[in-house]
Amino acid sequence: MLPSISRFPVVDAQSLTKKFGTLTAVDNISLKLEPGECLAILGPNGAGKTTTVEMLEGLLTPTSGHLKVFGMDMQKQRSEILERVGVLLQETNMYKRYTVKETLQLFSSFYKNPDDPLAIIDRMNLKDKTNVQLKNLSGGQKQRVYLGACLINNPELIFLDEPTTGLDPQSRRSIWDLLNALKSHHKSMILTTHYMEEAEKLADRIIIFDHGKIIAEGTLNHLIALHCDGQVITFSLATNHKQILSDELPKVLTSLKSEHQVFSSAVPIGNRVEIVAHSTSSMITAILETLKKHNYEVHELNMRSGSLEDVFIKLTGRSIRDA
Amino acid sequence: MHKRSSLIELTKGRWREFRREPSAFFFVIFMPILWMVILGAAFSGKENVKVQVGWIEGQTATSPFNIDIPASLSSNSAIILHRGSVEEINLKHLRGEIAAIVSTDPTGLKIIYDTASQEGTNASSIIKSTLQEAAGRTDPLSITSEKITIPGTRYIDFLIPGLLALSIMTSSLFGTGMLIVSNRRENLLKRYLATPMKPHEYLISHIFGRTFIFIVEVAAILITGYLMFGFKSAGSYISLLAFAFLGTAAFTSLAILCAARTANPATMNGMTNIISLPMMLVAGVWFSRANFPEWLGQIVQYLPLTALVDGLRRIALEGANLSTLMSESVILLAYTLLSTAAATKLFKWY
Repeated sequence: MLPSISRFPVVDAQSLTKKFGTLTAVDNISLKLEPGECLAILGPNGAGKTTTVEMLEGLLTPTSGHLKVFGMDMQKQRSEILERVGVLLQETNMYKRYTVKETLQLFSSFYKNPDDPLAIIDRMNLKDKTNVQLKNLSGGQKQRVYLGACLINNPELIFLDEPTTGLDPQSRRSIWDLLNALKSHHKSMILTTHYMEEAEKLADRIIIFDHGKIIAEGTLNHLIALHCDGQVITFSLATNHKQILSDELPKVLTSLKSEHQVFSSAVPIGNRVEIVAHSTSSMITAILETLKKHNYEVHELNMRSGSLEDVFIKLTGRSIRDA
Repeated sequence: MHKRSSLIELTKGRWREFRREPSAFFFVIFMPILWMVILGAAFSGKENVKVQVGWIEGQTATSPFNIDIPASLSSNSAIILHRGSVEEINLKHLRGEIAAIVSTDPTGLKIIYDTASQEGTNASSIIKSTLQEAAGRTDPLSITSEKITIPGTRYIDFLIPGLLALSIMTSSLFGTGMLIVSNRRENLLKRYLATPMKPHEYLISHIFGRTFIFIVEVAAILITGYLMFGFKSAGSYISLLAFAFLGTAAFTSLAILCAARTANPATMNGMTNIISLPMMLVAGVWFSRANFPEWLGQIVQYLPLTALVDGLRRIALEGANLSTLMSESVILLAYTLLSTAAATKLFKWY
């Protein structure tokens, strides 16, 4: 590894803002990525994740702010930076009539010191597909070709924008294995994802975005301890009537809140309510008492420890799947 | 490891996309051949072109010179006479099945035809001389006509360079434009932007890639023209190819310019149609521009298709070479350079 890398953060973004007309997509965010670190960016759709990542990739010019990658200025030394960066974009389709080998050869031609396409094909477990056209590959195989194209220049910094969205569970796991192998080679990575499991498995540090701002930042354990310390209790009412639910649930919650100061957050999601409680047994008693008072039957009552998903729900008020 | 050139790889890709896309291949190779076969057969197959003349039954057939008008007309082998009622004849005229109607009235003969139409004028003059001769006119001069058979002067010889130009225009405009639009829609352009590839290399690769495609295209037309009609270029084939390359470059650059910001295939299609359809009609692909009004001719001569058609024709028919085609070459080069420069400025990668 080059000595210059360890002296600087790999990515150093200061007060980045991106406006599209009157819309502020990204609002004055700062972030750093240390060498060998994997940073996951989570957030609802439209939160500014992709806009941020595209600024870091040099695809969008920030409206204001400073961006250094490998200690170099993105505006002035863009092509030098891009020689050392790999990207996997969302919803890209490469030429469907190229073979796997031709696709990687094309991308290798863009860089000064590319890896051997055949070696990359081997690493992506696509050896038997070397001369197959992309149109004849499955979604998971194609994503591995695109990941191969992302790694063709042996990049030090890798951007992965929703790398497993739309893939079946088995293909997702095979991509995660490949990404974990990259982590063990001390590649620095920035990952955006909709899958909590993906962030939990791969990320050293997590940033949560909402409305163009960073609303939480830290390691997985740090975020859970800070925002979801305690047990998560979920309950639903024994009615399917949506109107009753949307009218009555807030009343139930207000009543719970005023009479029992035992929880740190409560969020209605569909026909369920999620509550993060410090004292589980008294919380359950309180829920049952309150429901009885309002003449509701409890339909389902669950209890588990906090997860990244709970942190996300608590901070954005949305389930990541709804978001 | 051997370092690949990105321009060469991108260019190879253009050719690959073309070769592996069966419909692209079909349109580029077979459409112009089909045109040539159909038009060639339609215009050079007939020994003598006959004129269709209408005669309304029930008119005084002999008045006023005591000749049988329908019989005299029928006796001329160049005339096909249609007889029928007023309604039938008028309907046939309306449908364009007959070019002129002969009518009589007490004062004399009348030929009714559209004076602006070539066919009508031709029919009228044949009718006039047929009837004048039948009525006893003798011509002081004896004139015979001879069919043109020398290769290089037939309609098909005029048509083939025109079709070459047309095919270069349509395949460059439509092929290149659609490819760029679909690359943009599928985020591939954005993906390229995230590499150190130089953006102009992507644009130039379209021009170079087209070159390989147009060589196939030009060869297909020339070979078919030779085999079916004995077509040969009077000028050198090197000049023909070199000049055709200038045309390819001009139309590919125009296509890149049209596709510089478009992400919608329908918009792209509309733009290329707006550019290509009027040119197809006015540039003189099918017929000589000699009959156009002067003001139109003035404008038309600066169109890229006109420059390409004229240049190719002068090479193929008159044996001109590139050095004698300065103004046409300059026009095509100007379109190439201006479009590429504008496209580079305007191009949106996503």
